[in-house]
Amino acid sequence: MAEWKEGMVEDQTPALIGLIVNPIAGMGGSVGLKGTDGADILKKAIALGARPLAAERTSRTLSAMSPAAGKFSFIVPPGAMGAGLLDNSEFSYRIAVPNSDQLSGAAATRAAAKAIKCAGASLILFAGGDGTARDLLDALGDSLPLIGIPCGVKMYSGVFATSPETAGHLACDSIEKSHDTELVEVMDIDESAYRAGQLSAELFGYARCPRSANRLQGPKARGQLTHYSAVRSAAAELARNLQPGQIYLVGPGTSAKAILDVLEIEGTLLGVDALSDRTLIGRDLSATEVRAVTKSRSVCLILGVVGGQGYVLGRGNQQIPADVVRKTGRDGLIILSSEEKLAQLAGGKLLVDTGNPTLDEELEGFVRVHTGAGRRMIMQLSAGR
Amino acid sequence: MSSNEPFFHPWMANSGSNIKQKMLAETGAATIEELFEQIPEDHRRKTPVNLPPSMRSEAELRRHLMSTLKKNKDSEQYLSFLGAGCWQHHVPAVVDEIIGRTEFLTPVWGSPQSDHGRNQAWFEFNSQLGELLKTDVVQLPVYSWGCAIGHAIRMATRITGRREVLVPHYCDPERLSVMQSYCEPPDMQQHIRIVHVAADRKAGSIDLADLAAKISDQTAAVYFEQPGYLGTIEPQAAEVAALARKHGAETIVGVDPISLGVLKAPADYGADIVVGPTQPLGVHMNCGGGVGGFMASRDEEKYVREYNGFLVSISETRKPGQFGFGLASAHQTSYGMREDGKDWTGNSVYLWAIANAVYMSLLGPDGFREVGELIISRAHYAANALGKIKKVKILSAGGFFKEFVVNFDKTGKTVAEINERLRKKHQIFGGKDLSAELPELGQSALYCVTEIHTQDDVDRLGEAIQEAVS
Amino acid sequence: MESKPGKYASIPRKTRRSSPVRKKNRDETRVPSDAIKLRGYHAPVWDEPVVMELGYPGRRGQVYPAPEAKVAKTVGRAMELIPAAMRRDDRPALPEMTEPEVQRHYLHLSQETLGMMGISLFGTCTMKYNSRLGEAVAMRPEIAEVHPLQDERTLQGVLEIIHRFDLILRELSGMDQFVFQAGGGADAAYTQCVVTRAYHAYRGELSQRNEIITSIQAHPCNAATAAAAGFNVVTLPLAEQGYPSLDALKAAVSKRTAALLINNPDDMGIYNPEIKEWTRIVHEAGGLCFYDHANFNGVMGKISARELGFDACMFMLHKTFGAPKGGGGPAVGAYGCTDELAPFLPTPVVTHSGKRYRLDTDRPLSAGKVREYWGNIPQVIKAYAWVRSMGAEGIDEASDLSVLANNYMDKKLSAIRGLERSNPHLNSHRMEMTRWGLGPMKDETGIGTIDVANRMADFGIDPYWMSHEPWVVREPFTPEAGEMYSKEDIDTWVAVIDKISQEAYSDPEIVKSAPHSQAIRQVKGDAFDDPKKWAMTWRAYQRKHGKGGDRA
Repeated sequence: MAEWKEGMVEDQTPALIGLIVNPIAGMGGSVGLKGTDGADILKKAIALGARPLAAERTSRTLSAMSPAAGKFSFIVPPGAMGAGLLDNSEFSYRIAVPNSDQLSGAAATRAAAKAIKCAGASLILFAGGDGTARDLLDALGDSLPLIGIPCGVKMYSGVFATSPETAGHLACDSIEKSHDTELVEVMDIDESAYRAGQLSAELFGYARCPRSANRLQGPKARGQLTHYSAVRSAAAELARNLQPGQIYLVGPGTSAKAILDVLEIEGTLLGVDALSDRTLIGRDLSATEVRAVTKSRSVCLILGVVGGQGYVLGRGNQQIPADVVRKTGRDGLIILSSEEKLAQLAGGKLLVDTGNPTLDEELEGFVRVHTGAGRRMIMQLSAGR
Repeated sequence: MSSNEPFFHPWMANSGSNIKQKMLAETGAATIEELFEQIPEDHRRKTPVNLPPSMRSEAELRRHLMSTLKKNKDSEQYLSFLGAGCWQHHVPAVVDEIIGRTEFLTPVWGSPQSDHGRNQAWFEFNSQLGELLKTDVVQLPVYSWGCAIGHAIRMATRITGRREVLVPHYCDPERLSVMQSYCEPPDMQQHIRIVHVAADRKAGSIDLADLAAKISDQTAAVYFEQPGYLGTIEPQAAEVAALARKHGAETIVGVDPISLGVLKAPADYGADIVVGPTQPLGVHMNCGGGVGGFMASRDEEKYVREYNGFLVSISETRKPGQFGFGLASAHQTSYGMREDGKDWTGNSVYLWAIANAVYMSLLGPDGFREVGELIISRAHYAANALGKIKKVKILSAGGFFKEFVVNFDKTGKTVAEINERLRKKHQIFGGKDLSAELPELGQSALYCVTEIHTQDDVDRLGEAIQEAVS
Repeated sequence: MESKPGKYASIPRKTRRSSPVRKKNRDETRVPSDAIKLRGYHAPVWDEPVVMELGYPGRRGQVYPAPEAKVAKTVGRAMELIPAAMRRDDRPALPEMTEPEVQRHYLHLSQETLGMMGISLFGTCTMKYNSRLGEAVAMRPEIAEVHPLQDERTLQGVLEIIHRFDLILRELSGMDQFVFQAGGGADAAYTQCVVTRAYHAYRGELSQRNEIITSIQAHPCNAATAAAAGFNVVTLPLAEQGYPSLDALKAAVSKRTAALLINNPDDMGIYNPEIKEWTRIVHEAGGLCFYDHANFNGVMGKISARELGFDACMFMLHKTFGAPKGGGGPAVGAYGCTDELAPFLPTPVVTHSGKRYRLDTDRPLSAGKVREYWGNIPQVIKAYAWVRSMGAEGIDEASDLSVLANNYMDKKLSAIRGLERSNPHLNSHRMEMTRWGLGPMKDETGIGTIDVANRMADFGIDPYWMSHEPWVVREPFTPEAGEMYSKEDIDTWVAVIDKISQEAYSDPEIVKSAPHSQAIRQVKGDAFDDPKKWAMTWRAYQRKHGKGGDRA
């Protein structure tokens, strides 16, 4: 039950909003590099004439927040990571970690996040990209809601607002009214592979984001479920129909994990677990362990969908080896998602990237995604890359 | 596709003038036909639409409509004793004025600000009905009483996880048919079983012993009506509700709201979900099109999250001290048996909710008491008068509200014959013929008497029946 | 209903839609909104208390006489007629008001309702003129004071109109029989589901055929009613061309298929040109095809559901056929089907046998009822009046005008900053409505579709419809001009959107905090999903917020 209920942010008076700026975020992108991870790349970017983006983007967010300036104060790291942008502004603020200027890069971000949390902030605004989001995830897990001001080169994670202004408005809305939160994917790509021309985003975990719900316009018809309600509903139906003796590999992510929630089984969020006869027979399995547990057994995969991109295999679940996928085939893929998430996939298709291009092509075709109890959506499965 | 003759119509501003050409020029299309480019040629109708010619003149149209409708006989012209789910009550003139207001009549939906007044009227429907029922939650009405029962049963199955409902033996066939449609048929997985509980005497209340025998831990809900289909006031309502609670079942009660100035509020005898008709509260019969159904309950999340439709809540605005209204619990959240899905909603009878609100404000506590006392007095007077007619028997044994059962077995005539005689010779619509649906009651009719029937009307009925049966 | 943070941000930037809408034309077609004088509108502000706070003990708006002396003498005291356990011994806490006080209160509330007094291009709902003649006729006792169980010989006038209107809808759709029992469009979809159940049960296939297919762009009531009727729902996504692909449909059909429930054109104004192939494929699989004619206005008189292969269809009389909407009913979903399905229709069915009109209830295969009696008959009368006034010519003209008006409006809207048209890659003219999005405006200014809707009312313009869920277009809105509104009205409406767009870019706070000229300020939403705060009745409000609430 505890997992099921989406978190609520309690009202805080006066509201305290954390702000962390990754001053170098996005610099790589402006000069054609694929990211700014690591000191060498930064040097190269500066040499190429890159200019800092984050400060300018954050200023746009702050302008959008100015009408609500009296209603909250900021808590920030010193210098370019926060305080520097608030000097001489209309916002009140205090500094969270006076000694952190000894640190730099990812370590500074993590230290700032922890200090801000300890100070009692109700949410953190951060300016950066996927790398910054990962740092915050490392430091905070899903303990505090995040709103990303988009300024990185890579922004595959679900934590970013659509614009700096939107980030500001969301933050203001969040302090003015209580709101639901939800877990969204934190993704990142392997920059060196990307520079070599390969795009391969990895799932690193789930961060918490405010889910601003405006209930003022009446729906003409009800029936729409929130994402987790939808997958939970689908999982409950699936749980009633699990076949005895069958091995179910439960892929990473909140959607696939819903089946474990329904069965009240403690599994892993980011790992691959194995289920048989309604009990857990393997937890956080490696590829070798997956092979072992599925050997000469009939297998189904219970999978979620990576938001925005549509991957069901090959992002975050590389532990499931191609030979096991070949055994299950397309008919053995049980995919859980909400209609809303499917409707918003950029390419309108589900993608597989098992590492075996032939297998990927064999898997192409239509699948019935479980979008609720008694609800299926027909989706096309395509070879990703 | 337009004919060459310009066709102007008083309801279409851009028809029949060169304004179309001006607009067309902006679209970049050469002809209006071109705007339909998405429809393939072989999808177009094979034959033009063949309809009677346009009657654009309001005078002409009015005459056509009224000359046709005048072929009806109505309950103002005739004296009517029909009830059974749609009743002739007085509709105050102010009610008709308010629901005729274009602001309420024509729109569909706005924002909480733009349509604030309408939303407030809805909240006032909830609030006033909540006082009559003594429930803290009232939903905007659904299509009808039968639909309200159907949704309430489905709520109860989701709340309890059980799929059987107990209903009284005497059940309006109209409502029962709707209920059955809301409970999937036996060859579907989601089937909800409807089990009938015997009546303890003719035209009477629920047989508690039979209820005790049939109720079990499979029972999602017990449904009964107050008064029942045949008019009887259920005296053991509290006992029924207690028995249901003992077995973990929900108690759903259907009440006629016009009786609630004199009958106990359903929350006071243990109702969990209350449903009922809204038509008695200021809505004309409208050939049956006046019906609507309310749903209400305690303010507990397990109920609130299971409603199918609109729950209008009061709220603050940006201006301190000011209030507005919006929809509460509009999104389905993580609660209860939601994996089995809620029902649907859409357009319903929300204009009638405003009529109901105006009606309740006009009557107030004293009006409800008066109208209740008047109805029950005249109904009993009528039963008494008809019972005195030779060979005519009243089956209802006291304790009814506005409807009662009259039996004609001993007259040797059928209800159909008597009603025909009443209609043709006396301009009276006799009570609803029960002989086909309840053969065990013989040649019986369900008579309805309300505040609109005077003592003279009832005496006239008595004389007419006297004549018709002899 | 506002979009989630990051919901779209997880889409790789390069695939995100920008605002490709004919920007180059902006200057040429720019609406001369500055040339259109917007009204200095302000709504009436009555600061009207909740009715529960009004009145004075002892006042009343209706008086009923005491029972006549003989009645009283015969039956005794009224309360004694009630079993003791069931007598009410308290006074319900209703307001106590005089008749004029009640009248004024509710007239004030009507004035605090914009309610189509402005210009309402509320898409998917086909806003029309609702003639006062229809109202005047419907209020006559020949309709209002008629009981549905009267002998049918006393119902010949109303049954004649119902039958004639049935014939008109048959002509427009090619179907063989209509019924009017469904209390709205969703209820007609539900009717289709119960007819589908009865049809397959009769053929012994109901337990096998348990799936209903629909599309993500069909009205959600199709999926919701199918689920409520016990079917599994299979939803098709939209493909590149703006409607679901034939391949997806082929993947969806099977021996489990009970029916297809679909609308066409959809709410984005896109017509599926493969629909005949669709009905063929579904029929081949043994399923039924139901045409949700919610968007009939743009194709009235142009196409016939039967000719496209459908077995049944639904018309909304409170939309397409000029009956009023009443703020959400009483409405009618007129449901029509072929002779093959007619035995399964809810009863009664109005028939004409020789000289007399009848209410046929003797239909042993009937699916049962979806609502008591025969439907919202006053609305049927009004719809009949509408069709008779329009005639075939008028209906053809109305669909022409509604599609013309939408395309005219599309052109004007495409010149406004921050807007984008759904499916920008599709160039063909849309049908009677188009879904638009404010995604670019949201990104650039933080102003989204709810803010704009709130602001519109400040200009005396009714807020638009946004979109059904799920939102497949960012920050959506769906205007539908219809045939009633004049070119000047449309120009004014567009000028208001343009004005708000300018405000969003220059002074977003005025939009964000709107409305400013309404009966009340912006409603705060925080109570609506909080069990501790929500209050659906005055008694709950008093319990949670103290006597007289927080206003005391």
